[in-house]
Amino acid sequence: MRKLIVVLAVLSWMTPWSSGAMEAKRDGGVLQLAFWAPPRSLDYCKSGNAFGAQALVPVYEGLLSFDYEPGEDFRKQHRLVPLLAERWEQPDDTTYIIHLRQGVKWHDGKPLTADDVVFSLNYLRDAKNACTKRGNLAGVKSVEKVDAATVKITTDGPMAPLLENLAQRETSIFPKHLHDAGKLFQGAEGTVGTGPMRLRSFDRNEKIVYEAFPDYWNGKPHLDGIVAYFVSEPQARLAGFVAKRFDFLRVPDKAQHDAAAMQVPGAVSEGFPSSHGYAIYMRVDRPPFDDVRVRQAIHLALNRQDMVKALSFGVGAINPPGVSAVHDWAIPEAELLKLPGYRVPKDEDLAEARRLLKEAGYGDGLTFSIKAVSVWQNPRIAEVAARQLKDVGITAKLDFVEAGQYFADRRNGNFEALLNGMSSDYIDASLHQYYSSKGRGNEAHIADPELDRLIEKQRQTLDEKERYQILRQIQEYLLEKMYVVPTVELGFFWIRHPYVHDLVNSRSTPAMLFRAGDIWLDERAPERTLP
Amino acid sequence: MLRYIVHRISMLVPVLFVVSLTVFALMRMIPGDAALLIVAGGEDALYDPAVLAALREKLGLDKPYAVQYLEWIWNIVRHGDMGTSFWTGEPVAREIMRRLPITAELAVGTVIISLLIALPAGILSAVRQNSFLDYSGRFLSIAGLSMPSFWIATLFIIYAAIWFSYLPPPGYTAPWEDPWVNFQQFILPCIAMGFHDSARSMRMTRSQMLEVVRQDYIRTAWAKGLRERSIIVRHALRNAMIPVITVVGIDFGYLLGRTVVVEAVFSLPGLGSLTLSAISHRDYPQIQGNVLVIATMFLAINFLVDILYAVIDPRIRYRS
Repeated sequence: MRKLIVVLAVLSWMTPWSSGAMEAKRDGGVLQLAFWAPPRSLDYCKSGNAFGAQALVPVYEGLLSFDYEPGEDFRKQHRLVPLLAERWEQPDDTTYIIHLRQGVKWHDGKPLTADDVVFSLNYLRDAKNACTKRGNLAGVKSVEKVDAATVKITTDGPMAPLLENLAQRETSIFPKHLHDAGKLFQGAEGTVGTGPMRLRSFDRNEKIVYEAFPDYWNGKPHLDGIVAYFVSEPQARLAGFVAKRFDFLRVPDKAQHDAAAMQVPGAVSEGFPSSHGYAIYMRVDRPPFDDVRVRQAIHLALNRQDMVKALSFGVGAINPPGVSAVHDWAIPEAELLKLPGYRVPKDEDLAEARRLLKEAGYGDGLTFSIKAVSVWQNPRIAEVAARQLKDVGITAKLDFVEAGQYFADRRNGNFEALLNGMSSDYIDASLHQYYSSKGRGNEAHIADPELDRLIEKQRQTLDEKERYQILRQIQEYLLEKMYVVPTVELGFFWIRHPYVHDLVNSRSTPAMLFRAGDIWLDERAPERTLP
Repeated sequence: MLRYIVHRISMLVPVLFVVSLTVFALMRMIPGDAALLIVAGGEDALYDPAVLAALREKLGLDKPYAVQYLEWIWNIVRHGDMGTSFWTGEPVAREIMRRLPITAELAVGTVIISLLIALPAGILSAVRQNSFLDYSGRFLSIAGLSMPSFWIATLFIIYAAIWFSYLPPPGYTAPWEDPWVNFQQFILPCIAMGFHDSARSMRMTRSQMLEVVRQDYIRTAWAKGLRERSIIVRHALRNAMIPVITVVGIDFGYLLGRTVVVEAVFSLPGLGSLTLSAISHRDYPQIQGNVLVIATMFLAINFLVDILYAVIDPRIRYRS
């Protein structure tokens, strides 16, 4: 009798109606979604901006990847997992031995070899190929083949972010045989990767279609394919989601999220802060911003908590300078929110800001212009910031310009202050870009040898704990110098129909289809065929 | 008449020359670097100065403006080649030929819808002046004028999705490939734009009809005992339509440039949305090509309207 009870209990656990049972992943179905814009081209090297990457993420893979798990925020720790590399070793500070995964095939059936890896990384590094993300391999001295399944990468010096850079979506591996045949990146035929989806068709005026790659090294994908339509209008994307034309949606504000959730019972959604923060970016080589007291006063005047509430209904993050709040190496929020400039109530900070301005000679008020792109979140943040700065006697005149003009003005230094979006997903790249005196994005003209030293030191520190400490030092230094005044990282929402499973929320702009092979649709999904 | 036609055609060349020079100059005056937008890619993207310089050279942006203009014009005149898009690398002319039919179909559909609303409403309003029908028609025209077409378009797709779980098929399917899909893709945007445009045509039809029905020859027609329908359609409408046709014809030309927002709402890949994205990318060859084509079509349409005017109104034909 006792045995019978045990057997029945085990059977009960295994049956589908048990609350502890695993869902059976259904094969088949076509996932449909909307991309905001088509990629500039299928040339992954030159189309390395976000829309190019978005379109080609399901197709190409790199040696490593970040640990994308549905329901988890991979940005916290940037944990690395092997992808086309099976494992790697670091025999010394400047040498990496990469062992390639066996049995990986290109979409045209040919096998992946070390020659492909050596070719791809050297192609990316070569300035004449004008790859947009050439900087991902900064510090790499050589990439060599050891044998058919092993590659050796040598760096100029210790390079702590190298593995992270290899995991970035733009550091993908391409087929050498296509390059040798003169077909690399030439249309759909030249877009051959190792990813779970292969490119079936691309019409920049309508859609991009992927079909499942049955010989994918990680197992045949569950989906038959994916169709991504190019829909620039947010209301059209929202309508498409409600009409089940699109299976998931990324919306920038709670109002759109609530509208979508109301129309789709059972929709699954998640709000999250972006790691793309906004900052007031000043010409620190000129008055008034060459005076740290003025910069500190601006920082002290901002009420970031109110910004997050007003601009994204409480979904967002307050970040220290230089890093995104979502990362583990950022000053913890509990600690940050006690610091001057970040704490509430603001009375003490506002009084201190006024005192600093008076000391700096601006007791009667300070006026300057803040230039911002006239689209996205920028105007809203600029308006709230300008309103808050008024409380300490600063008049910020807002100058909203079109994107092309903004980039030109920024590059030419034709501004007093900017409301600038700054992505700090990849901390080394971000610090070098914006804060290093030689940084290509250092349009604020920051020239601080101590800061340069710290930025280089974190790059060369391979021990993770030590590196985190240096990053902490950098943040504290930037809090003191306030070369760039951070505002907030606004929130976004991700909403999907309940029949979509194992979809990774990439938490990026735009949304990326990581681990496309794992996505599956249950029987409630609309019946669709792949065009 | 023939001399008039030849003269009008000969005027096209200097006008298009001025248009080409104007668009070339205006685009160069707008701040922004086409090559920087390609290599920088986004708000926070890096760019390599060496890569930027190489790209500027490849795109010919390092040449003097006069050389850039002359090379572009010469290629059009000599080879019919409008150049290559900076952004996509595709031939400009090919992209225009792909997108133009979409915008043209949208414009034609808008005019048809507009006339289907405007003519009956305008005629009824005039014939039943100061009646309930008249006031309803005038109210409808005010409503149409007041509501922007892109707003109507947005309401259409939102409520179609909410009430019927329906969204028009995205993209473009040619009418000869699948007429039903093509109809679904265009009916809502054409109604959105047509309703807005019908307002002016309706009011003009009404005022012209009111003027014409008071003419002596109409009174004669009544006196002769002709039926009302015959009087209105055969005698009054034809005369009333002359200025309406002029306005509709000119509007059609403007429509070619006005479709951009509705194209975006309905994801129709037309010339309007192509021009807008080309401007934001500083895609000079694409913008220049688009503007030249739209200008040529506008001039051609105006020319045809003038000819049609002469065809419809024998008084003009005899005078010319």
